[in-house]
Formats: sequence, structure tokens, C-alpha cells
Amino acid sequence: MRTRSLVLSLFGYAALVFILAPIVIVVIASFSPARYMEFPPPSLSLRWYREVLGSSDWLGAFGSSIVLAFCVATATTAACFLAALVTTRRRFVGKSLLEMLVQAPLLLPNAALAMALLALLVQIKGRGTLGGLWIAHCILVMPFVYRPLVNGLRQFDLGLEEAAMTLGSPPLRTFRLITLPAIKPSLITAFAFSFIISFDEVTASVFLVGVNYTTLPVKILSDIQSDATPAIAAVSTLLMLLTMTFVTIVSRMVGIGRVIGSRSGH
Amino acid sequence: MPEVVVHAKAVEKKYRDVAAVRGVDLEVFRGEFLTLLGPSGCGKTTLLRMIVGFEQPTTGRIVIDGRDVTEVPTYRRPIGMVLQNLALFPHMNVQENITFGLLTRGERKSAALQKATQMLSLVGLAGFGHRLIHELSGGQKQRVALARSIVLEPSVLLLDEPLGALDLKLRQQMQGELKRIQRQVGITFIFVTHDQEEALTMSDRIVVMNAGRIEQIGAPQEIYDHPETMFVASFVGDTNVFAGRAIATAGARVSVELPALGQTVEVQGRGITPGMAVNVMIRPEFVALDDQPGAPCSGQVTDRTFVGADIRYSVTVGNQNLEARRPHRPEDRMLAPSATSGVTIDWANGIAFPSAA
Ligand SMILES: Nc1ncnc2c1ncn2[C@@H]1O[C@H](COP(=O)(O)OP(=O)(O)OP(=O)(O)O)[C@@H](O)[C@H]1O
Ligand SMILES: [Mg+2]
Repeated sequence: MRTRSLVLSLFGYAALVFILAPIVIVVIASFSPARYMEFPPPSLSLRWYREVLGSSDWLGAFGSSIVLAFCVATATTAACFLAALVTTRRRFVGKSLLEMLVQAPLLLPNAALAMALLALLVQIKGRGTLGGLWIAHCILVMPFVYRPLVNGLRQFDLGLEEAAMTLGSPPLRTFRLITLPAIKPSLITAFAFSFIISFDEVTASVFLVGVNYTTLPVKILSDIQSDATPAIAAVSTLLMLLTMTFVTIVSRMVGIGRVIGSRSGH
Repeated sequence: MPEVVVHAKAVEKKYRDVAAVRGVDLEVFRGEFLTLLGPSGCGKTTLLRMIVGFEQPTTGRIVIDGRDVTEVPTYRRPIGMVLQNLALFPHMNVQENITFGLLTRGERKSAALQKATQMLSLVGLAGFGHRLIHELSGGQKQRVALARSIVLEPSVLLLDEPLGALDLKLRQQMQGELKRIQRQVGITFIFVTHDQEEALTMSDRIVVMNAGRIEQIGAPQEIYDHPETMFVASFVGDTNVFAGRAIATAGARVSVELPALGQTVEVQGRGITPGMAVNVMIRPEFVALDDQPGAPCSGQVTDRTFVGADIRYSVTVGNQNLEARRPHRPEDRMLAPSATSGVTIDWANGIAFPSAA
């Protein structure tokens, strides 16, 4: 028993080191003053942070990615919420077809999907534009947003809406004051999910960016291929910091929401 | 003539091929405590949901306060409902739950709060306004659900098995509370239960339903003493049933031959013609067990249950099993299982029904 748990925990720690080590190396390498990435760095400096934060290229790509992710998250959350509302509450012809369509992108390799999207965007002159990437990302992100929303709505007790109606509350007021607060955690989760997926997306984006419009992950990729300066390590470190903050905020919000949500079961 | 609050006119509800409610005509009077009683699946909830407006009748009309509300949405009907699972709003505290309807209606916040406080003391929860819903016990939740609806002073309040989830003790306590609150506020209650004892103790009138139809409407005592159908007789209270054949009729009396006992007895019965196959029902309290000689028949005690105030016996007479009940007195000698005893049946309280053939 004892040896087994010892082996297990050793294994666990090994896995942790294996996962964390590259991250630690990247973080340390980002503080190098040298022209090229090396580990350990000869000395410590903030040179590459100054460089990145002063570069309109990097800041532009970052800005594009944020705007794109925000637009994608807003659109997919809204669209999937409406779709989930309809599919969880109504029976209609073509319901399973709709569900299949929403989730179809999961089944296709991203690269294949990107080729198809490229053909489409070239047709509608959307290559290398915010609009073009927005369409592409929305399609890719949809399945990841739809599921949690369906689950959230399934858990919602329709009796609460009925009770509100018997208290004289018309449908819109009921939705705003009763339904929405109960499913807010699902909405926040869905929004955060789609934001992060879009912000991280590189496989399909590589095909679809243009000369004047690129996203942060694509710029990182192409910079690694051309000249691997510690700037990339600095960008990665900044991104990690940002993501961690974001996830913490969201889990705080959803965490509190969950407590409220779990009460509706009683 | 009492004033009619709710009138269901020839209401039917079909779910595809299932007829959940068939041809129900029901008048509910102002201020009464009316109970819908019937076995699971007989259409009680469906009828309530049509009255409140969650479901549309397939045919028929719903009239409340003299206004046809069949096409009126729930939130514009002068009606309240306590749902089976209560459905208190989990993200609001007790006070917010109670003021929800008042604020929806556009009342001032201060007035709403004042009414909520009054309601809380009416239902015995004074000082609980700031509790969260998950901080309440089952019985307290019941009271909040009740207060939340009553505060709006609806013309009629519907309650769908609100006590179903409570344990026996709490259930009995809440039955009393519910009655008291109903008398105090004078609102018409339509209460649903499948528990016949609950129906008998609480109601002004009982509507017995079976398979989507109304079997009988009447005061509890009427339902118990004068059931109009075999179903009502066997669903409300305990009964013994004998199969027999009608020999002669005279007004509301019938002579019936009972092969199981080898006797011909005279019982109550309407709409029966001589020669008809009938079932005769007799309540256990009209079956007396005694050792005195001269009893018309004798039987063997097979089982005995002591329930405090009563003793219940199972007796076999011929090949028929009978339930007998008599009040318990400490000085009485109890009959032992397997003892033989004379059996005297007070047939004047028996009722014959045409047997469903
Ligand atoms: N939405 C529905 N779709 C199809 N059939 C339904 C629906 N709701 C109820 N039924 C059927 O209608 C009949 C009456 O149901 P209802 O819920 O009114 O019974 P009930 O008397 O309230 O029973 P219980 O005491 O178990 O609550 C049942 O046979 C039920 O299966
Ligand atoms: Mg029911």
C-alpha cells in the first residue's frame, strides 16, 4: 500500500515537473539581455519586455487578437444561447440536424476546415480581415460553447418560471429576474471558454491572416520561424500572466454563481 | 346560492392519444377549501395546470370570477399556485420571494415590505425575512411558498400536493396550519392530494377523480357515508366488497343474494334492477366480531393489528376475507389469531353498486 502510494506520488510530481519545467525555462529565458534565446541567460534584464511593449507590431497583433476574441465570444455565446434555449425547450422538425450542424466542426481537422474557410473567404474577399477571422473562429468555437449552455439550461428548473408567472410576472420580466440569474454561471463559462479558444487559435488562423492583419498566436509562430529572439519568451510570459488573471477572475465569478446555482435543486 | 369563483366547463385535455382529463365540469365556490382527490395519474395536476393557464384545454372553457380566461395567459389570471416542488427563487431571500409579486404588480417597495412582514407573521415566520431559501427547513419553505402567493390576495389559490414531501408528523402539523391560514385569509383553496385521510380532514368539499373524470363531488362525510360509485367507496376509506346478485328492489333498498356467505341481505342501492350482478360494499366498522351465539355466521380470525384507538381484524368467512374494526377499550378481551368468532354485519349500512361487467 505504502510503496504504491509513494510510487504514485513520485509519478505525480514527475509529471508536474515535466509540465512545468518548460514554462519555467521560458519565463527565465525571457529575462535575458542576449540577442538569441539561451538558457541559462548570461544575466538578467528587462530588455525584451521593453522591446515588446514598445513595438507596434506586437501590440497591434495583441490588440487584434483581443478584439477578435471578444467579438467571437460575444457572437457565439449569444447565438448558442438562443440555439440551446430553443433545443432544450421546444420540439421541432430538424432539431437534431441543427444540433449536429452546431457540433460538426468538432469532427473535422482544423486544417481541413481552414482550407474550406480560406476558399470561402477568398470568394467574399474576407481573407486577412477581422470579419473573415471572425466568421472562421465563430464556426470553430461554436461546439465548445453550445454544450455547456445546453447543460446549464437543462439543469434549470422550469418550475421557477411557472411560479413567477403565477405571481403575475410576464415572460420578459421572468426571464430577466428569474431565468437569467440562474444560468449566469453557464453564460460566463461559455463566454470565457470561447474567448480563450479564439485567442489561442493558430491552426486555422495561419491560413486566414493577411499582410496587414494578423493575430498574436500567428505572429508568435512566424517569429519563431524567422528569428527566435527572447522577445517571444517575453510575450509568452506576459500571456501566461494575463491568462492566469483572466481565469482567476472568471472562476471567482462562476464559483459564486455555482453556489447559487446548486441551491435551486432544493 | 354561493358565489362561483372558478368554473371549469366541459374541460378535456388530450396529450396526443392520452386523455388526461375528460369532460370535467366543476364549480368552485368563494371561500371554500376544495380538494381534488384521486389516484396517481388521474389528471389532478393536469386539471390544475389548465385552471392556472400552464396548459390549454383541448376543448372546454375555464371561467374565473365570471370572466372566460381560457385564452388569458397565467400572469394575467387572478390566481396563485403553490407548486409541488414549491419553486422558491433560490437567488432571493425570503422577503424578496414574498415581495416579488407585489413589486411586479408595481407596488411601492415600502408598502410591499410592510405586507411581507405581515405575511411572515401570519405564516409563523416573523423575523425570517433575511434568511436565504437554502437556510430553511422543509416546513418553513412551505410557509414561504404559501406567503408568497397569499400576499397577492388571489381569487383562488391552487396547491398541488404541497405537503407530499414532508414526513408524517410535519405533514399533520402543516395540514392544521394550512386550514388555519385559509380560514384567516378567506381565500378559496383548490388543494390536490392523493391521500384520502388528508382530503377528509381538511376539505369543505372533496372532488374524487378517477381516470380523468369526476366520480363524485361532496362534503367529506357525504363522500365517506354515501359513495356514489364503487371507485369512491374503495378509494375513500377501507371497504369490504362482496359479489352478489340483486333479487328485488324497493325504493333505495335492494335485496342481494351473496353466494360467499350463503345469505340474502338488504342493503342500500340505486339504479339497480332485479337480476343485475352487483358488488356490495361494507365498511369494516360495520362488521362486528363477537362470541355470542346466534350470530348469522362465523369466521376465523387470521390477523390482528393493534393501532391504538382501534383494533383491526382480518377474518375469513367461508372463502371470503373480511376486514373488521372496533374501537379499543382496555377491558375488552382481544381475539387471538386463529380464534373462531361470530360475525355480525350491519347490512343497513352496506351499499350495492352495479358490477362493472
Ligand atoms: N406533458 C404530458 N405529456 C403526455 N402525457 C401527460 C403529460 N402530462 C400528464 N400526462 C398524462 O396525463 C395523465 C394525468 O397526469 P397528471 O399529472 O394530471 O396526474 P396526477 O393526477 O396529477 O397524478 P399524481 O398524483 O401522480 O401527480 C397521466 O396519465 C400522465 O401520464
Ligand atoms: Mg400531480
